[in-house]
Amino acid sequence: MQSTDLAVTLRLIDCIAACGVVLSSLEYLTTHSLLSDTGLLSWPVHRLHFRLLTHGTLAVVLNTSLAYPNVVVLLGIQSGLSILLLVGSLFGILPALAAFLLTSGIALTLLLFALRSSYGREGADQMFVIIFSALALTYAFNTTVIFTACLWFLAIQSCLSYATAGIAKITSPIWRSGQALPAIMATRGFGYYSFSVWLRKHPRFTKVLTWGTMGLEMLFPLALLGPQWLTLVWLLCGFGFHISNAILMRLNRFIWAFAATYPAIWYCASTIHLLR
Amino acid sequence: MIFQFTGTRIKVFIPLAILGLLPSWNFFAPRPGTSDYHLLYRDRLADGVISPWREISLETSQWWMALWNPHMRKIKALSDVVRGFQTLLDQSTEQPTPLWFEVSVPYLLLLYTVAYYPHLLGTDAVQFLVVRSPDGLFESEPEVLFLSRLHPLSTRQTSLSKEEATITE
Repeated sequence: MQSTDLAVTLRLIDCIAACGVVLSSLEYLTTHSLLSDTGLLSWPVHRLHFRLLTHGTLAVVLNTSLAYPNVVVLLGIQSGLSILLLVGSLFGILPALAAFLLTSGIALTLLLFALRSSYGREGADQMFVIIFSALALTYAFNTTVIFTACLWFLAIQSCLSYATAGIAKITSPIWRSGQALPAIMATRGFGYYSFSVWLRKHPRFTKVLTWGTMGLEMLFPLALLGPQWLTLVWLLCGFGFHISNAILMRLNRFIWAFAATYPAIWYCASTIHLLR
Repeated sequence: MIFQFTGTRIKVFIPLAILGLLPSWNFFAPRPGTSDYHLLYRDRLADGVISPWREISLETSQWWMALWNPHMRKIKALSDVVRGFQTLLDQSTEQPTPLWFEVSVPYLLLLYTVAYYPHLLGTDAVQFLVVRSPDGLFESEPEVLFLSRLHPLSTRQTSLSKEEATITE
């Protein structure tokens, strides 16, 4: 695989992931009252989880950035860095040092947010932390070997995440019976009630849909290991899966977080295909 | 991979998990979330009158939330806090609830949240209630998970008139 393919792949990952973090931070900024001292994500309360966050020098340092309203500035910095990364990567005008500074800055803000509160976080946030931590390390060393290792890491991490989710489902009798989907869809928080009603009226389809979802997730590593047409099919199915989750469950950030790993999967699958 | 399933979590890796560097990819499995949680509160006025229950409302879903959904943070946060709360509740069998329970992070987060919502004029104490809505899987009845004691409120937090208080059934 040529180094241009490597560079293009990394730029694609930068762009998609940056879009996701921009979306995430702007969404947070519009609901920043959640982060206030009297909100559900109150820092004075949440830091009581760990003694390190209430006593000592580390606590003082963290309090500066994580206390409200300073944390709103942190969110602004996160979205600003992400916008710069997006524009720079889109137009290919980002020198390596700038890429390193931007991705490590984004990674740092994401890690600080992870520390601030485990409540309210979801899988997309976890994936963003992994992506930007990997990108920051990659741009720090800025060699072809490290770039390739980064792509392999992201591809394998992504496939593992789907496979784990699939295995967790298939070990559950609730999921195997087909009952889980209609029940989740019936919830106000993550569901779509009319779809839940429809699923209950069509139990055979529901079971096929459930097993199809579990199969897609568990067998996702085939996107890396199978022929190239299978890679394309699996990535398209994965994308469709996240689109439907966004529409039915309003899990909009997952599209960006997981789609950002797809260029890495394609690159690595193509490498395997060439070696055959 | 071994970190994914609760029974095998190794304590030394917990700090990495907190930062998100060792993620958990369970995603509604093996036990899917099939209930909604509701946080309600009511006021006690200085003359002893207790107000009706009012719910901390969550926005209803709209089509554009497939693209832009800041409300999910609130929904997820409430769900996570209540689950953390329930875990502690399961560990506490003493009655009345012990002090350590009332100074736990989930309890304090719920108390702070209801304390700073609008209250009736003249409120001197607030009480909160956590309810789990009918389980879509087992089609069970709504279940009261926890009813707190009355917590004193300072007068500066009151702002609602009796007419503005809504009744939650």
